[in-house]
Amino acid sequence: MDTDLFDRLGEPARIRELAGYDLLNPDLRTSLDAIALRSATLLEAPVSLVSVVLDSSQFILGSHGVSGWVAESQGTPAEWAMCTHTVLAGEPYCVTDGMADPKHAGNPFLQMTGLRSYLGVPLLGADEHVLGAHCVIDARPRIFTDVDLAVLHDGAEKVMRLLGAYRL
Amino acid sequence: MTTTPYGLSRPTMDDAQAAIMRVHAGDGRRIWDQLLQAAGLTGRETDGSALDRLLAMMCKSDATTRLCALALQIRVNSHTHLAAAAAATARS
Repeated sequence: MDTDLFDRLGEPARIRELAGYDLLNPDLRTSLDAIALRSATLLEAPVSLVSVVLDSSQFILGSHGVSGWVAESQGTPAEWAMCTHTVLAGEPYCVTDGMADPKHAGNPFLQMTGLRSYLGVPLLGADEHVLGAHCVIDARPRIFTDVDLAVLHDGAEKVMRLLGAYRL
Repeated sequence: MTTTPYGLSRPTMDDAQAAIMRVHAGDGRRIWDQLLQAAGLTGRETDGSALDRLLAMMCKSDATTRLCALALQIRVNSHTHLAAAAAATARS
């Protein structure tokens, strides 16, 4: 396991903030699925996620276009999650072609799913921790636009407003 | 410990302890000991069923520990699915 990465992601105050939400609520998932569907549709992307990144795994709260082992596991190991990069960066993260990018070409998630491009924006919690990300992932190399980014920012705002209603 | 072709290992008791120590910082040792006692484990077990018992106990604990369990369970499930897929590929 990648303990350095997990130590960065597992910062106690960030995990405590995440623990303050009812993340397993089925009504929350339904609403977040709808936000993911909207972003995927507007950006004409096959996959969209709303996820939080825990200390060692990405947990998918809402999604569109996810199937197979990722859907059944409701997440991925953190070291494979593209959203981990968004969380650690604390700002939008873009990959034009993961297969041609040395930083991502060896990522098993991309290799197994055939997905290649990614655009994600951070989900900022009330205590200023980056809790997760809202993203689209495409199966083709893709140059994302400022309009694409604005759509995701809008989706992320909706996600955080919704999450606010699920604080414990 | 088994691995998949993608190098993903099934989490162990050591991984679970490291996770508890990580997210609970100064309270980690106390919470780990409580979890072991409640689950009837020593922490030195190496079989998958011991981790499964521990994860079940973690899911009944405080909210931060439950998130720890969720993260570990996602890794367990990912490993299970990918190991099964790798085994099926090897048989075909």
